[in-house]
Amino acid sequence: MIFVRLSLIVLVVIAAYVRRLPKAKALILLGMVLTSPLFVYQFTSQIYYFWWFVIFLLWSAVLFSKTKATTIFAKVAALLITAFLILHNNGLVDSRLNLDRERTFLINNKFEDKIVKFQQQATYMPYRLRFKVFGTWIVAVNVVGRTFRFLGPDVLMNIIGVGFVALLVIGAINKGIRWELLTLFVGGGAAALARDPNTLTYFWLWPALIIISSEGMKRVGTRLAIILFLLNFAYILVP
Amino acid sequence: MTRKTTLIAILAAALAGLVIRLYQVGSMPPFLSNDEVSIAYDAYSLARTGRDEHHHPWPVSFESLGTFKAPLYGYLLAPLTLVLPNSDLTAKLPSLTAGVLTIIIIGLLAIEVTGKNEVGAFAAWILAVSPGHIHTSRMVSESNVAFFFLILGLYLFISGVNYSRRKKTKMLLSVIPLIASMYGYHTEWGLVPMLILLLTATYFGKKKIKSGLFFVGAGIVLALPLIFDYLDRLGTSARANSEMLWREGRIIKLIDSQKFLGAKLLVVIKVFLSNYLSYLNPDYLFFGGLRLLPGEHPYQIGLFLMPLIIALIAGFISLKKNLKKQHFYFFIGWLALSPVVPALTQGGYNLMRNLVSLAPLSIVTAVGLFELWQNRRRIAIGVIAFCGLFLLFDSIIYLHHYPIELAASYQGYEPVARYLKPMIDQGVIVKIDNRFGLSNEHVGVPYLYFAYYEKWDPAILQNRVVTKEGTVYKNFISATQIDWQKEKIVPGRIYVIPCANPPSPAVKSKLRLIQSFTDLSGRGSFEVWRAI
Repeated sequence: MIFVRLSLIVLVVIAAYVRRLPKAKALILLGMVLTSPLFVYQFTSQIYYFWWFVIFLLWSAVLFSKTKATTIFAKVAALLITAFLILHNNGLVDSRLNLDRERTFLINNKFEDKIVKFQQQATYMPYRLRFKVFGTWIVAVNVVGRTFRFLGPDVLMNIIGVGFVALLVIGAINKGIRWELLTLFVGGGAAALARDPNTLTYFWLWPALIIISSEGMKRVGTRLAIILFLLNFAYILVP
Repeated sequence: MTRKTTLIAILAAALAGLVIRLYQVGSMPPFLSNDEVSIAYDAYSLARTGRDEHHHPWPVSFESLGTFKAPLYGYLLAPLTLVLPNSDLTAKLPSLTAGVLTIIIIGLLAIEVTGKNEVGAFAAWILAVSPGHIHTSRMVSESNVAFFFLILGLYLFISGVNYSRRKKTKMLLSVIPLIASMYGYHTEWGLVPMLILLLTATYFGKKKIKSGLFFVGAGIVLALPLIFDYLDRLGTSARANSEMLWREGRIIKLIDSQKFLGAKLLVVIKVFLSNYLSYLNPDYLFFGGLRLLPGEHPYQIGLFLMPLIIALIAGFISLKKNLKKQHFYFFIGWLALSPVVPALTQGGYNLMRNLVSLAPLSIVTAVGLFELWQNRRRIAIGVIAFCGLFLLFDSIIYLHHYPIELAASYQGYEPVARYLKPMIDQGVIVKIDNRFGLSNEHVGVPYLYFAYYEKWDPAILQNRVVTKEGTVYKNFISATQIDWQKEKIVPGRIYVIPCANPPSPAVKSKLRLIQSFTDLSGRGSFEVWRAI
């Protein structure tokens, strides 16, 4: 546990260094990470230390790398491994990437049954078209919707704190953050497939969250940063 | 885009909006709800007697079902009930009209705040095809009418921001529709004062303090009847008292668990922020905000068409660039303030309470679509094309599937009322079981439906008598439930019961089934039995 917490602190320091944040802002960013509910409350034995080390190295490579090839390789590898770990943590896939359908949201609340019911009601079109129109793509739409629900500001607020969310939003506007946003989205999407997404999912998204928020810290003034930190801190005072 | 072309595009959006809102308006929502029929009946009673259902003369709030509704809708509907038949369409007319006019006004408002005609055209079309706005325009929605007056007031004010003498009058007169919207719905009670202060601070400033004071003062004077009525209703079950989030049981427990005042306040702030941010969650806006189907259902529809999420994101990114400098701070304030009042209420997502957010979000989305059109035209064309596809798909879900899925939860008393009218007029005693639904899980207000559709004399409701058998309205008895074990069967009497409460074998020999009714899914809903 200490190792993992320390590695997060190191990641913050690296992100602050690479972004060339002033010391005050770097400290504030570190403070926000240390006071986020995810850092304070979320640590269990379900963390795969080896894979966390790999993720840490890959994102550090993303931050430090000066060659395009290395950066692309590190980003793609980090994204794929993150997605796999999230799927695995939520019990959706095993080590051989076999999908466990019973654990997906399709089985939850008879989701699939409701799709079939609507297909049967749609007597105004031929059966094959009904299946294709009302079946396949509505699942994709729902996955996207659940992803946004999982990554929505109201949910993230309770995971990382309201100040952190504000930094994320400000940082997300930057074009250079696209890959980190994609990682968030893919990771959230992987979790959204689950019947009951595990909050440990957010843990694997820490590197992307830290990098995006460091970008956001660049754009805000020190006073606003302090206010956001205080908001974050106040949040963990009341469970 | 020229001004003329823009106006044509906006009018076309309004026409399209009218067609979409009118098409099969009787199929979805299939029937009026409790609140809707209450408003309709109050309007009918007001037009004929100057009093509402509960005998209050020219009320500032309608007592209704104990919720003390805002009055504007009732007063707008009242004169219509004098010339038009008592039907669902008549009841929905003010909301429908307000919905269509809002499409035009939002387009004009978008032009004023951005200075770009294209944004105005886009904003009008976005609202015209917004599932959230379409749904509220097809209902008896006080919120929709209040929304129209709010946008009208903002448009008059913003369009008058040029400080020429004539336009300053426009700015000051805008307080009338703004305050009128407060008479329309409770969300505006909180939002409009905040907006008035924001407008005053942004546009009047120190140099025009007299005008600013007049603006605020006129608002207070016009709102006085509402303020006095609210103070009068403190301690009642009026929505303004009972719906606030600090009155929710769960929140009360959380507050009580904290020792210090600061911590208690923090609990309320946390819950408020969570509610506030949930109204900005893309899942709510684009995937499931309409929440018409219960629980986790694959066919939920959002408040906006799903492909527009791309335009919304683009809009937020390019907002500062595309808004007129003088309107930037006001617009951000308006956007930020819109979900505040809904976030202060309990019960989770509520479309009616948060309808006000559709306006600034439509404009942001329009800005995004404009930006995409200018710089990434293919993406813009793709978004528009997919919007067309989603509009078609959502329409099929909304018009065909939703009525079937939701049939059992709607109070389908209209056909029953129309069927029984001749018998009730002849003085036959009718007793009705107030429950409905597949397993009698809902409790209705059938007397209001009968009173509205059959055009009862308002004196009948005003002179209701509460007895052990139920509430008696002349020869109509509204019972909480009919228990066949205890019911004394009176020959000649008519019994209206939900299909889930059929007569027991012991009494069936004394009764004869004379008519049965089905809901929109084809399942049995009500049965009419006559005692032999």
